[in-house]
Amino acid sequence: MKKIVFISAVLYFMATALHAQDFLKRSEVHGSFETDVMFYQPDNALGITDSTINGNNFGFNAFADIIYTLDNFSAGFRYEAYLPPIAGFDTQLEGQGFPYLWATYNTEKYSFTVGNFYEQFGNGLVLRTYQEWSLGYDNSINGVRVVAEPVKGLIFKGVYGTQRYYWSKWEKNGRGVVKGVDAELNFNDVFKFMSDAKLQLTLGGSAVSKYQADNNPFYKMPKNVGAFAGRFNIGIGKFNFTSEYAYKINDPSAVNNYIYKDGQGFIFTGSYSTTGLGVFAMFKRYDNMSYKSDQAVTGNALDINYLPALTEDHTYMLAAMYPYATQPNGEIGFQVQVNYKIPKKTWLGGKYGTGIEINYSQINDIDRQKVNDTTGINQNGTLGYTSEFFKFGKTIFNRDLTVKIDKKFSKNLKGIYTYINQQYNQDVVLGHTGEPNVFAHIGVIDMTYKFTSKKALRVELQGLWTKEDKQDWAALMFEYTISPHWFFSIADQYNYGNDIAEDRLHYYTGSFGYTYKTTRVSVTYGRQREGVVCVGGVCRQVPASNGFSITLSSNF
Amino acid sequence: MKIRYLLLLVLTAVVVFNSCEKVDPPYIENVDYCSGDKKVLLEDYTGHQCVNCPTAALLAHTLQDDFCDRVVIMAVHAGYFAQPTSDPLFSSDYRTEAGNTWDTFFGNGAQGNPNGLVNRIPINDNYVVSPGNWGTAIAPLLQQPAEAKMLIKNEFNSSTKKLTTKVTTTFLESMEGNIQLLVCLTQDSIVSAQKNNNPDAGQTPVEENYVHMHMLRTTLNGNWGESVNGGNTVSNGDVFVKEYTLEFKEEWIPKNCHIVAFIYHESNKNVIQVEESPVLN
Repeated sequence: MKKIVFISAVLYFMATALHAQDFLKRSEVHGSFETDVMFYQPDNALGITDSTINGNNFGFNAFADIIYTLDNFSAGFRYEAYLPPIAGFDTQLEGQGFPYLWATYNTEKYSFTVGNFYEQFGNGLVLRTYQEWSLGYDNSINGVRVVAEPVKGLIFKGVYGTQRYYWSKWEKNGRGVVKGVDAELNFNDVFKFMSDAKLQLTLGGSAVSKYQADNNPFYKMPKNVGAFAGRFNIGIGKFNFTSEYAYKINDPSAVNNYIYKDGQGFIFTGSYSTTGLGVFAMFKRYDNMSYKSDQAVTGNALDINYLPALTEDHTYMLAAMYPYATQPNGEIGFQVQVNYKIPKKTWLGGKYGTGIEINYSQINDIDRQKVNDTTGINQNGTLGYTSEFFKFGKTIFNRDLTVKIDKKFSKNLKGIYTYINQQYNQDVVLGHTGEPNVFAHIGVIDMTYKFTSKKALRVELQGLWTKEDKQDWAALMFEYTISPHWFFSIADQYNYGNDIAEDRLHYYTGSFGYTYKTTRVSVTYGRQREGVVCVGGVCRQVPASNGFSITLSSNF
Repeated sequence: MKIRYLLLLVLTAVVVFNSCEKVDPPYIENVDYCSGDKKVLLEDYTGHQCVNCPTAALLAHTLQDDFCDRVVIMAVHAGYFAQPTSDPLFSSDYRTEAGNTWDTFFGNGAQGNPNGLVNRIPINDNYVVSPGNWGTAIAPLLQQPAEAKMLIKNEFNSSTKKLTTKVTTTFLESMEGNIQLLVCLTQDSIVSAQKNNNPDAGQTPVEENYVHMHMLRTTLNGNWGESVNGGNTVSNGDVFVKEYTLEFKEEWIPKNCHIVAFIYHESNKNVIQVEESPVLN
């Protein structure tokens, strides 16, 4: 009897162990980490003294994303710490914890998620939740998401939950509850007769609503605010057209000064692409389209929707000095871009060909007219204003002409030459009201010389000339790379033309980095000039600083 | 099968489409703010180089009118925009030790002026309230019953230029914890340059003769005041009297000055009651 019990026990444990082995085999864990540390030091020229630092000479932003997968099931979390946040990040981020926890089960046709998730309907005009580490931005929804694809090419999505607001827990009668549905139909996938058609057609539609209790003793607030959008994507040969129109009902808020006007968003893009030539054009109009799950919140938080940016994103140091931030209360604009590759072995193309990119974009205020003779434009507690849909307002927010030429001279030497002509409305974009528009000419020469297949030197020479703001700048950068492991760089931005002699400062930095497989560490020392960082039209202010920064990132 | 999905889609669409609410005018609620003894402290964090601040100051005054003078305004010059510069127009330093301390503690300057504190009560864990939300933060507080009543009696000796202030606090409800009394001096009608973007507030972009109102000049009992109850429980009807003296500086014009006194919970800094009285009665 004892033997039987013993053998049964051994068999049971063997079976369990085998099962556990199988379980472990099918399990996968992935993750990524990043730690950004700043050490600040006084710099009298920048106005940073011991008293302004006031003991806060340290900034620490870190996250770890861990994802566990077992067959159709996956779950994960993100840990974040801002102790305290690096200067320029919202001070409300200070703290640490697990703001992002989730679990998903996928089948062939369904996907169920509980916990936190990111989602986007169409272009995001009525719903987009996402995370952008460099901005300290996260508007994830905490709730339930269902995605169904009953037949290939037909996708339904449904979301329900509340959004992240820094470290604040959701409370009854606090920030709103978001719910939304989206459907997308790809005709070429669903209908057999279109599977090989030249015409590629996708249609989509979304409806989103937020519920927030009326806690406002001043205004009669709508408790439910709905937003709807329809979109298409048509591809015919080398042409492609996409468009989306969104409508939002009355949504008085601190952002729009508590006006009761409806909101509209419209984007249209067209592109043509063939060998050596690409043409892209875009038109957009946003009118009172801030859509947050809390009417009282301003700034980069609790956005339910996302309004795509239209201007060229500049990455060079001086070219990025005046980045454009999307104006949700109203803007109208267009962008045209042409890319052309001059063929090889022609007079202008040379041995390797020459690339040319021309981009022009302009964004104005929308047209705004009084609702009636006795009501001021945008007066709180009214319908705000009326606006003709396609009429451009007189105020230019941003205008940008960029011409970029890239040219390979030999196997070892290549260059990129950029000229930018920019008009920038500091008053509206930066909130520096009363400050004049900046008219700037910016030139960049970017040369790369390869010594060997692994060693390369890149040099950037940049200039920015303007009579406004802080006047003229010059910048020089050397970057030496030993791939795949090392880079060393030194750079200086010099405000040589500043009208105020004592503000003609050098913003020097030196940095190096080491990469091993998927782990990267970099160290930078120097001055950071005051400015604005934007990603996709969403921006944060960066104060001037001086000191060390260390970044460590890895994934597995 | 497909009908099932279609029905599901129609059902969800109906639910979402019904989640819309069109509000009909008038959009502003009709509430009587003139009855009640509770007053609210609005601290306007500002600076002479802040172009948007005059608009916020105008708003503060509008709210004071809208709320039947039950809002006590204190303009705290602090943070980056309040720093004096080499430009003679902006060489004056209107910052105060107390203002700088509060600015650091509550984080006003770090979140960009103009902004303010409404009774030092946080909204969504943030003490700092943007001007657009001042009205909506003040209104519900004014609908609450007063928990205490305060009386300020000022006596100014014009020959010695010494002010004696007596603050009498009568509690109308019992409460626990340490309750602090903070007494401040504010001054109106200080004419000095101010960056400005609002034609209704003066010349743009700089109004050289801007009239600064409610400017915090100093406190009479430190940056955080002193305890009125010594941490003991207070009961309805308990009365506490505190007296302070202050020697006036040359630039403090008595006829333009006020004493602002408020009591608050030391634990969370929330203001219980505030009162204001001119230095010269």
